[in-house]
Amino acid sequence: MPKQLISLIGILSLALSARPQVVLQLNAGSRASWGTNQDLFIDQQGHCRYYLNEVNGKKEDSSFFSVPAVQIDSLLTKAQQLGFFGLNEKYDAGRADGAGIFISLSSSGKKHSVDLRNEDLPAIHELVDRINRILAPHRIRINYGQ
Amino acid sequence: MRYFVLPFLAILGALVQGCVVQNHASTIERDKNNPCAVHVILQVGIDGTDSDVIAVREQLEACYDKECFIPCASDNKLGCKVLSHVIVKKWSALSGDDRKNFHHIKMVDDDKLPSNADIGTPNGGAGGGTWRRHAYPRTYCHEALHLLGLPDQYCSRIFDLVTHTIKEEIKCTVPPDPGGGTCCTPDSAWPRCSQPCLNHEHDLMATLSAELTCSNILDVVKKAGFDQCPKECCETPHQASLVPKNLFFLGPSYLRFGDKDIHYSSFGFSGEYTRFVSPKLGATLDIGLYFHNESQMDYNVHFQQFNITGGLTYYPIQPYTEEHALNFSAHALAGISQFSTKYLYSSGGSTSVDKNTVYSFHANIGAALDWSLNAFNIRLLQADYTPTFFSHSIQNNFRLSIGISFNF
Repeated sequence: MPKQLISLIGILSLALSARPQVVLQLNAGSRASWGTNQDLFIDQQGHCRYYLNEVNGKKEDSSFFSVPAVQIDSLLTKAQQLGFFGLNEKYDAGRADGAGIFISLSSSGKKHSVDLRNEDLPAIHELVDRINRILAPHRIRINYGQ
Repeated sequence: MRYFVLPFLAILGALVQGCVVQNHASTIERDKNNPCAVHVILQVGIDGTDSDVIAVREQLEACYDKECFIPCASDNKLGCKVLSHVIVKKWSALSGDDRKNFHHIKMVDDDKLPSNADIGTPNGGAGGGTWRRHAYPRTYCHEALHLLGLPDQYCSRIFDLVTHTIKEEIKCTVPPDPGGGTCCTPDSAWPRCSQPCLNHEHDLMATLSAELTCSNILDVVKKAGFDQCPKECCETPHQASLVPKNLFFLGPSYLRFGDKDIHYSSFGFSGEYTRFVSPKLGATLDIGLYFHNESQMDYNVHFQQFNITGGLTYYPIQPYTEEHALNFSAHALAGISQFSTKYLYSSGGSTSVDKNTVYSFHANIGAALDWSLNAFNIRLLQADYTPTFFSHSIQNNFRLSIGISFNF
């Protein structure tokens, strides 16, 4: 009996500690070795973590909140429609330093990331607009120099 | 009046605008009059307000107001100077033609994002960039080094939490990246990280906390192919300053006139001017005047020989580069000799004079030995074979001289 109880407690702990899968990660801002980066993580249940960090420096801000899961599903559907999963992994305008954005998404079994540096793409621009509308109530705006 | 005023105003405008516009936005060139000096000239056109122009100009002039040095391989105390210049103008004030030779910098309000710039080509086309107002100190200096051709010297990585992989964002131009090639290790807590490349920890191309140094300027010069000093810049200053352009000699001479019928010893003066065409070779003009008198019972004869020759003088070892040193030279000259005789006859209380002057081809082949002192040289000895060809015969003359010579 004690062995069964211990196993049950272990399984419950594991279930409680396991985090839902991150379906959207975003890093925006500096593409130099100075400046600031905005980091955003959203899991499939709509839990959001936001950080504002100096590159190799201190954390300047952080925020944890939730958005309706249905908004996340809608966002991932929009990303599919915009052709996110068919974009190249890197777009670089060729300039040194500057700003950019890294977005990694997971949807319907597909995973893909796109990294822009001193460049903007209509699909990414529209996707970030959508993200900014979701984040607006929390007074967060993603800025990658767009 | 109009035809006078307009050109005057144009000239005044050019003077007010300052430096002459270069043919490239990033110019790296050797000084036209001094091969031991290299100029690095950056031309930037600011697409913004007058305040933007002032702010950029102030920062760039403070950074680039430096004189750097390229040492010679043979002696690191000798070498070439590198002089940096920055020309900052308002983009809207530039003519269409001038804009081709200025990097186009757009100024934007500070949005907390880093400025950027094209990596330029030395003596190539113009590039551009977007710079933030009120940027971190030395930002514009760093971006200007990009316009001069230098790449960044940092690497960066991003951690992808969706795929649990690390993405290589920027790699060092010269591998390996620090940390055994990993650069840095981002994670879910710190998704993006960056590190200076190896040996660039205190380099402005890696971090804005560093100052712009001569190392950065010399990297620019090296990329443009001007990092080797010409040979003439690597001669010792003492040698370079003592290699004479001109040499002048004056001194007493003994000339032995050796005709088969008339032969005598004469004395006089010799003078020489040598113009060096290279450190060891000079063009020489030699002039001499020599006298001899003889007295017989009823007449005196006065011999006078005036020689003028020109040719080459050669120093096997570069001369007059050290004090208290012997300088040996050999010369071969040719010219004309004037031989004059004047007979004074005295007889019965009266005197008659008989003069005669003849000319001949004259050669002068010889050598000289000078001892260098501080301000002048002592000609210890000059010995010459100086044949003449008067009266259809050959006179085997020779000359010995001493004296003083001057370099100038």
